[in-house]
Amino acid sequence: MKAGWVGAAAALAVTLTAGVALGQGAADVIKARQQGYKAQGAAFKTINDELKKKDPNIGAIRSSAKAIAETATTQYRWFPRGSGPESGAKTAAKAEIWTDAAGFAAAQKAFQAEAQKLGQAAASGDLKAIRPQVGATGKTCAGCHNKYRVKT
Amino acid sequence: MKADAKIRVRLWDAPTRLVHWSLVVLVGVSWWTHEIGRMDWHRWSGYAVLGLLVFRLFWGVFGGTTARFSSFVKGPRAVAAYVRTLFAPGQAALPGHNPLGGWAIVAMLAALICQVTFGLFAVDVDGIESGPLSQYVSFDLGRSFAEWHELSFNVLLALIALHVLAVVFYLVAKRENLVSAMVTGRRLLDSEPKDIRFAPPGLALLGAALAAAVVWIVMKGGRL
Ligand code: HEC
Ligand code: HEM
Repeated sequence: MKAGWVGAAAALAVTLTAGVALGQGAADVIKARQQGYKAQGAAFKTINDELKKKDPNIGAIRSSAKAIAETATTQYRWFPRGSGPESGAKTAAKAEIWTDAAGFAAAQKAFQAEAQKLGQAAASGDLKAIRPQVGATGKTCAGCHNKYRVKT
Repeated sequence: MKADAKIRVRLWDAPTRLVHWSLVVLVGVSWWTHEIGRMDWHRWSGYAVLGLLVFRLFWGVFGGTTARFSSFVKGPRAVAAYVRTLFAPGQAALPGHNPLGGWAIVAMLAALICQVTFGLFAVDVDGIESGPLSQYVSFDLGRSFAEWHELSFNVLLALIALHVLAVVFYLVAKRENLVSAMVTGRRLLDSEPKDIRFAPPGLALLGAALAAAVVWIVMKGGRL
């Protein structure tokens, strides 16, 4: 699906730019990261929208959940040192991401675990399994944002 | 006739007063529930505001004289004339909204309509607390709605501040207590105003039913 491609492209862009020295590249890393998160948000919205319908489109849920689960593994590379507020670029990433690296890594892990379960639930196509798992995944998004993202 | 014999006149009917004070409370509740992150209550509070707005628009057309838009929305000339008398002493109080205040009501209602409408389409960053109509807009547009929702709240606050300042001005400079008038519905005036009629309670019930129906449909995401 579209969201998946955007997410994959963004992830690739982040990976490529993260390889080079930051500084001038920090703005690009941040932009690609935000693109990646936007795709996450769009994919997550697609799932939520489908679940509101009387007859949810399992195919759309499945591809969006897959995109989210894939991004959950690539997001580890989205935060190279130097891509925080100190870069001077416009970012909502808090400095705590790097000063509290263990806590941030735990938030990333928690998200990956729930996103993987969401991917499995979606693959099964069982709405009774998907619904609670969407909630559980959403909680890990919010949990990380509350701690490591500046409220804009 | 004695010069300063004032009479108590009934101006605001119960529905108008109830809508007014409910909006005061619910705008506060809406702000507070978002502050503490209770977005479920935030939505309920917003739905209640939506219902009040629908009712108020209905009442502004079919309600009693002082509640009707046609009685208090005046052209620029009437507003300018009123403004010139604003600081002059000894002006007789008008029954109902004055030409300037009338526009304040329109502005506040318009800002509230924007506020609620933007909220209904708003998508939050986690995508879990979004408005019930957000499913009809893209993620990016929904995020823009959330930004406008924040922006219109600031506009709303500015208008409310202006409104409260005006009421304080009347209280201090003109010795007119508009607050008690909006609580009791009655105000001291020089003479019995002509042409003030009130709408029958049955009509208010009809307006309330209409408001409830609109809120119900919106809550269900626009699906009947
Ligand atoms: C481990 C932490 C973490 C998790 C988990 C996480 N995010 Fe984020 N998210 C962030 C950070 C940090 C930012 C700010 C990025 C920036 O501005 O550089 C962000 C930004 C965003 C943005 C705004 C992008 C923009 O700038 O327009 C969206 C949308 C978003 N996240 C959605 C999600 C969704 C949906 C999930 C769950 C499916 C999620 N995020 C999970 C940390 C996280
Ligand atoms: C009187 C009516 C309302 C008022 C005064 C109000 C006020 C607010 C305020 C002050 C915010 C915080 C904005 C910010 O700083 O980011 C907010 C956020 C929000 N409101 Fe409302 N709101 C109202 C009605 C509604 C309605 C009817 C809905 C939908 C059901 C809604 C949904 C939302 C959502 C989803 C957010 C979060 C946006 C985000 O996280 O970016 N609101 N509201």
